[in-house]
Amino acid sequence: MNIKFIDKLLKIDRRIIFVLVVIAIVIPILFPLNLPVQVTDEVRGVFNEVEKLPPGSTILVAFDYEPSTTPEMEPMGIALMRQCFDKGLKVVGISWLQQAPGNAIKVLSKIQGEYDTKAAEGKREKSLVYGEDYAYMGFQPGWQAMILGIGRDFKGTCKVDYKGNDAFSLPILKDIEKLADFPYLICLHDDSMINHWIIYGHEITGIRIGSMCTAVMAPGIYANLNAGQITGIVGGLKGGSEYEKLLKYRGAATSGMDSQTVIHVLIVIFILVGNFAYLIKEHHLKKERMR
Amino acid sequence: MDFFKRKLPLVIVFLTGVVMMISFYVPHTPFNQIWDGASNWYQIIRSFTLVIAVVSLIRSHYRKIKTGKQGWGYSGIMFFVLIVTAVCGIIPDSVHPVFGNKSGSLYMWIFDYVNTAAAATVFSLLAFYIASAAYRAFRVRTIDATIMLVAALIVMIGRVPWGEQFSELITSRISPHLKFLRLDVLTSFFLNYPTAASKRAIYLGIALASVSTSLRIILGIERTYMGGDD
Repeated sequence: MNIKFIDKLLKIDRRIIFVLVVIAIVIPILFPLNLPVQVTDEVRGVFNEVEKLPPGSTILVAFDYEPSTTPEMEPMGIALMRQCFDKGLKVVGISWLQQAPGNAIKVLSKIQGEYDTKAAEGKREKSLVYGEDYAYMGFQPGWQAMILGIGRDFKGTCKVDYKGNDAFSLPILKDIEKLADFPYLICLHDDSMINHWIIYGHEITGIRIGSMCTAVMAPGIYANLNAGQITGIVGGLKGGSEYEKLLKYRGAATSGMDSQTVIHVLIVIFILVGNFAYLIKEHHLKKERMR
Repeated sequence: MDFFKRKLPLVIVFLTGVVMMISFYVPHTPFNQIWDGASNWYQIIRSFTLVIAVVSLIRSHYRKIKTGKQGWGYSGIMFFVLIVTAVCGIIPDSVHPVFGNKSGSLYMWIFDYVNTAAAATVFSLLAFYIASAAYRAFRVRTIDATIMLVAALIVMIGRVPWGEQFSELITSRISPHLKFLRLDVLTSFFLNYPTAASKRAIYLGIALASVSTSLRIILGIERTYMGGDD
């Protein structure tokens, strides 16, 4: 093989790589591949836990992801909200991160708009009512102290919701005194927030926890899954697409999987070509030294 | 003076640490009241760290503008955005619907179309740099690097639909007993066993180190939080 070609291949301008990445991401968006998604046990662990809750149950959802991970996390949040409200569950939201409330408000507003439209079209008896069907407690500072606080007294710790309403005045919190009164907690996180919920929530109060996280965080919490500290993991866009498949609709996560598939294959090709060229070059240099 | 600067902080830390430890395990009066009070104090202090962060940011960028350092224009933009966002968020929507933090307000518009868009864009740059690094830097120079490369390739392909379909096609054609060689099955094995085991070891190490460091601080052996030359 021509060594000059191998040298050129090894020193290829990275802008060419960037252009190939853009093409790999954009083409599947413009021309969907509709690839089938297989559901894993980890995702079923969260889905089934929500499915088995009786209508009227109130779950706690911790919106703890930052704007940078919105494209990955928002589809999961929307899928979760749809599942909960279609089943007649109630949702109480809370956030530990300063930037998370914007994301939570965005998801809840979008869902409220959807259900307003459904009610107007007669597809649903009535739309969602804030304070009765869902509530959002906003940003609550203190991390571990906050979890320990709500473990003993939820309304005493989260005194007002994000709109400024007194927690004691919200009908949805009528039967909620402490964290253990929620049958399930789902943490939407892009960092190690889940560890605080496990240590100060699950281990002390026994609350069952599900994780919805970025793909980067998912491998790190398999130890918690295997230990039974969480019921399941919905990891990254793949996890979101599996959740959407279980809910029988094609959303942003499923659409994004087409691009993710192509870019993964492209990166594998890059790794293989780069190493192939490297090995050829090394073999050539070895031969040169032996001469 | 030496007592107030060196001895008193140690006494406060020791007493606070011991009382909080007892309060964690004893839920009865007065420890539950101490616990609740301390939790409220912690939340208030935590909130004030946000104030300190903003003040520190303003001071640092003001100094940059005042001395005319390179990039002072960006500091000016930072001030403008800080003031606009704060004003829009702090003024309640009862004054005008454009204020407040409800959906449709200017504050949420800035969050959705400036903050989220910019943050997601910066994060997305990673994809380009990872692709470039994968091509240029990911080399099979050693056995460890080769093992990592093979594992990475299996997980990357095993986590996408094509990988699942392709490996199922190949293994089912050869023999149904080769199901364990499917890429999605191998990926699940890697995540549930080697990854979980190593993470568990890291968690144990972190937990033991945290207990050890906390005890050292409570007993006054570790004094780096006091600053100075101690």
